[in-house]
Amino acid sequence: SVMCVGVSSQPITENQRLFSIAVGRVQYLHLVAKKLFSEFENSQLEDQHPLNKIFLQDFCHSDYFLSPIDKHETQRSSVLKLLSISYRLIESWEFSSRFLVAGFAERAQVTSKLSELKTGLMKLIEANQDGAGGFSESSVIQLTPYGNYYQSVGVDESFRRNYELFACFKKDMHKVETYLTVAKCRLSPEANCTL
Amino acid sequence: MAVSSPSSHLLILLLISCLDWPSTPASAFLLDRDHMTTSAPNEPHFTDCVSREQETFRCWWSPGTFQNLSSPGALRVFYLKKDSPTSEWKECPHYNYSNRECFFDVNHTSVWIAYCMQLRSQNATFFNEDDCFTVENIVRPDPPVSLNWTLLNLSPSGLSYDVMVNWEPPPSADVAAGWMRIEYKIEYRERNTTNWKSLAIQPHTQQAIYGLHIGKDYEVHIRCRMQAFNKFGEFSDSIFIHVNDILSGESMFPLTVVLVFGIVGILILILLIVISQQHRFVMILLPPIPAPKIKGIDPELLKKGKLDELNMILSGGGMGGLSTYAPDFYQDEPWVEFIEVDAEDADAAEKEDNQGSDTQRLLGLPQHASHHMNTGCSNAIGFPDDDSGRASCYDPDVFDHDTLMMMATLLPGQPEDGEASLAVEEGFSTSDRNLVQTQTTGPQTWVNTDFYAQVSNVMPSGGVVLSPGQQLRIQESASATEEETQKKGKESEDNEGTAKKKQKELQFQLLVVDPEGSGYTAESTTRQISTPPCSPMSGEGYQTIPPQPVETKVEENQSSYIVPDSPQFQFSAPGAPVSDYTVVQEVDTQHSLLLNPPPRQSPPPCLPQHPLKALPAMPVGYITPDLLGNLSP
Repeated sequence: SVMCVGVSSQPITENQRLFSIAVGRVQYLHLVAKKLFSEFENSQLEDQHPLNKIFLQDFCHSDYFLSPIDKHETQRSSVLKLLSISYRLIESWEFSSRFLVAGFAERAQVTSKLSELKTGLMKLIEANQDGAGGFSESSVIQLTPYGNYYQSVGVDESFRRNYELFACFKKDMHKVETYLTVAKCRLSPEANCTL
Repeated sequence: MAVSSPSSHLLILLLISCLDWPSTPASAFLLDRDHMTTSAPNEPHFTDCVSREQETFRCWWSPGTFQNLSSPGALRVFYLKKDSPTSEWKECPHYNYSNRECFFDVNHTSVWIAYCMQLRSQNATFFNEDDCFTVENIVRPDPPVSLNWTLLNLSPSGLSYDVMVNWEPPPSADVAAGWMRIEYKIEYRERNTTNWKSLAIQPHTQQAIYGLHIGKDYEVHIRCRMQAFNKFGEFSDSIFIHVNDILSGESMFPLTVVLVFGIVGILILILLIVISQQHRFVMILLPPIPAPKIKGIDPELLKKGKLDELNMILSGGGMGGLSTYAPDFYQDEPWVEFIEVDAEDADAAEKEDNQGSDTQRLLGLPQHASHHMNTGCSNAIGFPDDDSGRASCYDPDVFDHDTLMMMATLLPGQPEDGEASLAVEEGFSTSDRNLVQTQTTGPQTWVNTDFYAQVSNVMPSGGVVLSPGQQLRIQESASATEEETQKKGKESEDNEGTAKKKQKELQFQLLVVDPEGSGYTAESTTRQISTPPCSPMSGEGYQTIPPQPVETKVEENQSSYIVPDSPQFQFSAPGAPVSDYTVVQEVDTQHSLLLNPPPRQSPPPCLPQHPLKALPAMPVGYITPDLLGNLSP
């Protein structure tokens, strides 16, 4: 993952530095999620199950979190809000990542990476709090096991659940990456926030 | 749905497979196009749904084989946005029947939310619900823009080069706000070839292409996709790269090779020339040092100071040894020049005051003093101007005899010998005058440039006093001086004229030797043997060699000079400033050596000694002690 370190002549602030680190970490997690999903998807082709991946992906536990779902809404959100949402998502997946039946060492790495990212986001929240009263409590945090949101219909519950896990994990990582990148580019002085 | 039994499992499975797992290609567009398995759809179906910037998206449908549904409006598009469990199917917000497109604007587009598409006809619903997707998964960014290249560098051989390609992100993709993160992939190929070469995908807006060849056309295009996603956008328009032979690198390389080889060839040629002409170069760069060379005398004798043999040879065994028949020791040095004096003069002018003789000219006979009562310079007036060195007397008004005398004193052994020698030349040319002779009414100021005399004092009047003390030293090193004399006498025959400038302080009489047997053999012929002055001599002018010893000043004289060795000879008084050398002016008929009489300071002249007897009529060479013995008073 490439971190968008400030190229301008101005010295990078601590906030920007933390943002750069967070963006880099979430980009890495997003790539890991993509890799896990692709490997799982390829491993299942042999089963000759034409998968309705999208159907399986209809619901993620994170759908309960109110979060910007388009560009306009994302840009309208404050940095702190974006950070808060990102924090919640990461925290939820820190819990749910244990269900990732990856069978790889990456599973353990994912959990630890999520924990580290959560810590970094907390620091960013603290750094960007401008008197706001902590997190927004509008969203309901559901830390129930991930599998409760899906009712096994198909033959292979584990497969379906795993598929949902990987799909949702990939989607949420992309979401957090987008939020953090938008927040970072909003704070960075250079015009084009090219990584 | 709850599953209770395996049979129900199968039923449900079948049901789900019909409903949820359609194998229609309608969902094919959700897959990467590269992996799409083509199967001809019969039903109306969606062909593709694409988002360009993750803010809007479009879907296109096809009626399939149902041509009756191809008319606009026959089929309607419905979508389901699963942003809540209670969402419902809605119709396409914007139709574009011309291309069978349903456009979703920003108000109807949500990311990370699943969309399902459906085609409905009047009496049928084509449940292509598998055409479900999330917007981020159908994003295909527009191609980058402003693609151009710059030359990066050229290889040393000039045959290949590197370029740097740079571009701008697609304007529709909001990269600046961070909404999209894009990575790029460049492909290039030679013109008129089919295989594209692709470079590594990377997120920067520039990339280098290495190893392009001079003279070939290259086509380059680029496309991009979202990071961590699979769907690429369309390729950009191609740009063409061409670098031809005009580049200096290509044309310089052979020129450089030619230059290098040319220089090497020239160096080899010069080396060959130097080697072939080595001897000549050595002669030019390191010319041999002239050594005393007397014709007919083995140079080894000169080097080793074998005086006896030398004297023997010079004396010619008694008679003109150094004749022209002497062996030539310098055959390999043809450039050696020997002073040759006209033999006739040497023979004829034994004791004749023959002005044509070299001796006379050299010595400047005292009886002609009256004729030379003029400064050398004034003589110059009537002389042919042959540019002889009259530097010492180019201005007769300026120089007086004393000055000239002083100058002449300095002449022996000085580089300014040229003056004296040239003056001597003139003296010869005049033949009648002793140009260099700077005589005054009074003492004769002869300066013999052939002989060395050390100036011990300069008289207030301008006269130069030669040191008498040098007498001993000179005598001891007589061999050297002898050679010197020989050399001097040989080098410039015309130096004889300078001999006319004689110091009156000379103590010795030096015999000018002509190795050729001619020339001015001092003691021979043409010399005037003047009565040697008694001891107190002014040191000016020459003194004749008294045949009898007057004062054995220098018994230790071992040289071949006549005077010092023999006690029979008279020397100047030790106390008086006398000249070290005395030129034998002439040998009279009685073989007496006549030296110049001393100048005014000289005491009353002593009785002339008996002339030298044993002196041969033509004493060639130095008078050795042996010969001196013959000089009996």
